[in-house]
Amino acid sequence: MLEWLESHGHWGFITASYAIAALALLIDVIGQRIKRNDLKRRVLERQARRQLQRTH
Amino acid sequence: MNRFWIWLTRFASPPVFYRVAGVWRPWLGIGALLIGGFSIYWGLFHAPEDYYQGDSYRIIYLHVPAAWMSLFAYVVMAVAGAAALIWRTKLSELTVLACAPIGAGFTAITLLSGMLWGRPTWGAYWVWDARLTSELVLLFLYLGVIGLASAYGDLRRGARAAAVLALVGVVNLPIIHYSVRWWNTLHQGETVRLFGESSIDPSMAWPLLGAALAAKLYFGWSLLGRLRLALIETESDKAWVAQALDIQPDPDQRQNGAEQRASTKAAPEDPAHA
Amino acid sequence: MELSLTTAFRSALKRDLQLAWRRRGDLLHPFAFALLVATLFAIGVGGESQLLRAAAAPVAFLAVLLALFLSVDGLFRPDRDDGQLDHLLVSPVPLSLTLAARLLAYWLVHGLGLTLAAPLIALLLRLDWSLLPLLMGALAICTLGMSAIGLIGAALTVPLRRGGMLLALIVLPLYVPLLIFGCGAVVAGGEASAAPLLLAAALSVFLTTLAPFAAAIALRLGVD
Repeated sequence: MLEWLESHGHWGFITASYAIAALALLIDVIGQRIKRNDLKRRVLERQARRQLQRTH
Repeated sequence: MNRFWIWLTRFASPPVFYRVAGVWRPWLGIGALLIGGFSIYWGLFHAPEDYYQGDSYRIIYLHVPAAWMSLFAYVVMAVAGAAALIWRTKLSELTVLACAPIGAGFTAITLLSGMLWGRPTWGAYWVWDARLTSELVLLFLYLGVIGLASAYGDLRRGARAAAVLALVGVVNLPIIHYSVRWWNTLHQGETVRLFGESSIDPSMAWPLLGAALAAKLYFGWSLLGRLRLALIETESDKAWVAQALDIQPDPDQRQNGAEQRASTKAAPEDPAHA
Repeated sequence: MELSLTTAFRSALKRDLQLAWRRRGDLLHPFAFALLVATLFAIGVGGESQLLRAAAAPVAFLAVLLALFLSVDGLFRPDRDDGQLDHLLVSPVPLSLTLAARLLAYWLVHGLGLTLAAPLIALLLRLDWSLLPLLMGALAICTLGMSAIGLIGAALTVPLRRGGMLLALIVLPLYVPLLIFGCGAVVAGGEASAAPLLLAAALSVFLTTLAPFAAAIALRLGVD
């Protein structure tokens, strides 16, 4: 894998480092989105449970 | 002064902060995207080639802003930590927790891009260069803060413990930096620096400043996003959260919220079960 | 009864030293650990190699550093387990004063105790004998700063059930400047070792003044 990276000269290293940064950015953005959806689901679930208790 | 404090406490109240942060965040995101995209595009394809390092120097448009931000995030974390220990406001505690992963990410990117730059320049992925070594120690400091905060079961206590560690770390950071520099000159001569004291051409410099500004804006964007999520998580039983998430609020949510105010974690159990 | 701060400090120090004296058998463990690290290193690189000679001073330093780190967890854990820690927190004596006494006792017992292990380690690693006073001086100075860092780390992790690995992650990165100056002084030798030794001393004094206050804040966090 390292040989493959080194066979591309300077631009190989440049591309690799910017790709790592882009990946980190993507993980941050998607991670926050997933967390938001997860929190929303939890609030909705809790509301549904409360609703159920009220009707009983 | 008094009026400023009133404004500040009002601003730090969760619903207000959530709303204001939501207004600022898109602007920070758009600014980071436009400025960063343009600066990096210019740096990669239009800035002239470096006489000594060839094309590989173009990694500075990533490496140097990330390195600056790795320190900046630590300082922000320490300042928030001081506020958390003095005033014990929830928002400053959450800021300590939110800064750590962003800063650790910037540090990791600095290290990785530095290694990828080192291979064509020094002929090795890792050289015990003073700056890289300090960054490595900084990464361990971040990991310590993150580990400590998550080891406490309670979110706020963990945040305050992390705040103490962040403050101790920020005092030690310059000492570590200068000691490592001293150690470096002891063991080996000066090496080529990715971004040294030498003057750099303006056509190379301004994309760097642009990228640094974009990194700051992105930091703000990510921090505000994490703070908003953390506020939802810790206040998930309050009525304003339902509104913020576009959910119809429960009619009896208000009194439940008051009951649960003591607990700061997002308690999975319904208060009626307790 | 009026309690003067000096009396309080002295009695806290006396208590900690007495406790250490009663459990004096335990002090052999870090001592033996430091010797073991040196032995394992010598076996790893080969007893006759040039490498062993060249690395003797840093390895001796590291062996003591790691041995000292191992005893950091014991700074507050026994007190927490028998409830003594809660007494400290509610006592009229300022907590930072008690902690300063504890730091001093810890350094006297563990720091200086391990410094006494240095001649044996130096013998095993075939260190140049003329460097021994320098090594012991550097160790005596640096263990003070390391004890101070350990005090903060132990105070932060004492409420946690299992703090071991986390304690290493908190404490060891902060050891870096002391390691650099301490090892640097021994490696430089002669006249050149004065500057790093003075820097290590300054850093140790700074950390010693900072640590009792930081540790007091950290311990109080564990309660409320």
